Amino acid sequence: MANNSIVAQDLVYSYGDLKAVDHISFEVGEGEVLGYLGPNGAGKSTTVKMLTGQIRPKEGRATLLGMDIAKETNKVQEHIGVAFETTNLYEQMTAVENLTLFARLFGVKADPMELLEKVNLQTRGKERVSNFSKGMKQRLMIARAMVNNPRILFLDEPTEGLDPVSSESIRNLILETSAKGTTVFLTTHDMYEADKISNRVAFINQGKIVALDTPSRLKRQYGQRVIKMEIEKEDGQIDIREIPLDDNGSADMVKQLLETENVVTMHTEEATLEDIFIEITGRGLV
Amino acid sequence: MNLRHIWVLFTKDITHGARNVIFIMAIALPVVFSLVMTVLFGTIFSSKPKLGVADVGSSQLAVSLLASDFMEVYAYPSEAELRTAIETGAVAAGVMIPDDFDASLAAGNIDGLTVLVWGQSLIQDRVIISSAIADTIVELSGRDTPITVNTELVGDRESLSWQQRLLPLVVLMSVIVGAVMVPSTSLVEEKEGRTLTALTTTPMTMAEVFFTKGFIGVLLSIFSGFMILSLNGGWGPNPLLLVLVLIMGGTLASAFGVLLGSRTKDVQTLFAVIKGIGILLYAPGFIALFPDTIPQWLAYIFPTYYIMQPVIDISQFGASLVDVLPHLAVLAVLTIALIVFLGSNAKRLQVQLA
Repeated sequence: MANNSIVAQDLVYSYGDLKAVDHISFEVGEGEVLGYLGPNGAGKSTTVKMLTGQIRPKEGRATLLGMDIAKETNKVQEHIGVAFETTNLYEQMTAVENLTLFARLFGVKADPMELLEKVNLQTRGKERVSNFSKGMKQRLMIARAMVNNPRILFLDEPTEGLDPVSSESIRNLILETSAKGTTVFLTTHDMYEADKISNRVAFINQGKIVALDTPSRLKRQYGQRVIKMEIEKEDGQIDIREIPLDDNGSADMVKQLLETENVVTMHTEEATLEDIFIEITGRGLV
Repeated sequence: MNLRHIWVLFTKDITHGARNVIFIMAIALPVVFSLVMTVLFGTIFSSKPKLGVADVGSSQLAVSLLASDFMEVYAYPSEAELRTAIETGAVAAGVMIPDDFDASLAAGNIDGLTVLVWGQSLIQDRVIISSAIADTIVELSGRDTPITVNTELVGDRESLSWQQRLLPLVVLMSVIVGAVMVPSTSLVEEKEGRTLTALTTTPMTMAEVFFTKGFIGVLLSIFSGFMILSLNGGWGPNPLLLVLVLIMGGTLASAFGVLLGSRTKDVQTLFAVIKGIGILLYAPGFIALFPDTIPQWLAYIFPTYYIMQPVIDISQFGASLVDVLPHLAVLAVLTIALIVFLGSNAKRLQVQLA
């Protein structure tokens, strides 16, 4: 990426004796989607809070769009959008009123209906948010985060609780936004989502970034490609064989099995991000 | 401070907060209380003073006094009935006009008329009645020299009327209910709904949020105080000074409301805290209810005393700026100290929310 929208240098944050973020550094380029992955309590939210100016790093420095977030918080906040994991909308106001309020706070002229259309809520604009389902609220928060046409968008679990169709439309929206040059900092548990839409992913565990690269490189580096074969035995039982794809004798083994056994199915399989996370950290993502 | 941010949040809070029960209660409660008091005791603040007249000689003075616009004047057939009316507080003062009064006046002997004053009557009423009687006599006599009117206190002069005792409490309610309750509940609701976090990840700062909530409290407090004073004709001779005191009092109370809201995590806790500290906020008003049994200096230790007392002094006793300056100085110092403390609290809350 040509220009870095986010530069985190040696960030540290602790709650009392507990070090939530422990000397992390990374850069996110303009228009890049960075998937920020880690289990609960790994330090994801604390990182986002430091980057969005909600808390100040105890050590280190974060610059967004070339400005130090700790020193020029309000200036930076004019150019960022944040969609939180937990609903924080004005429930007694309508969707349009919520969007208009935040547009006025940013001092921008935004078309609420256009934003609502992006998240498929155009028909519900005049309804009170308290009547919305969790998924609708989630989509409205994403629309709100985009009200100022941000240059950096922070999304915390944006598709959690959404149906598959809505999730897909949100993912497409993220990709469209990123294609227009907006940097997206995506915090998620959803490995499929991270894999599908992130240019790079960062694994955070116990406050430290343990891996940071493109999903494909991580898979190549840590994962093992295998050929998975289902073989039907004489008694009708199905036996599963996994043959490492990159070993020297793989081709011979596959050939032998095809000739001597009743192979029902055969397909290649690569490691998922979750497999890699477990391999690196020794623990799962949830 | 960005005025646009403040204006945006202010309009949101006024438009949507006005439907909030606390908001409505803050406006309605002091007014309802005031109306109930008016029904029970007549006007809480002094309106037109009530004068009784016993005239046995069909004097011109009685005719002129009965036609007065400045007082409510009632005629009594005898001195005994007039005295009873004064002693029971039916009228604030009374004048017994001798049957030869008009003849004495014509002869130039016009001094020496005695006004019987009820011991619990308001000082302001006494001044108005004495002046009105003296002016009327001067007018009837056609002379320019001032007239001396003697006063004689009648009835229990030690204790205050219930109107006077309740007045400080009503004044405190009018200033405090809106100023403390509305900013604190509004802030706690923003915290509970996590909208405060959403607001402060925009360029709006926590200090601006505090200012907006507090400003609404000050406006409500002034509005409520304005209503109470207007409903009861309590503006007195220095209305601008009274407005200044309302603004200063509202500011202190609002700053306290914001502090309360910033330190409380949910509405239930807030109400519990308000119940607990309510007695302290209204303590000067309660102390004023029992002037004979509770030492009145105890009220000095409560900050709200410095809101209440200047309002009473100005509206009831016509106090000037110089008279209330010591109270206002204490009020100003307390307000500035609280606002400075709130500034540091804004940063703390920002971290706490995150």
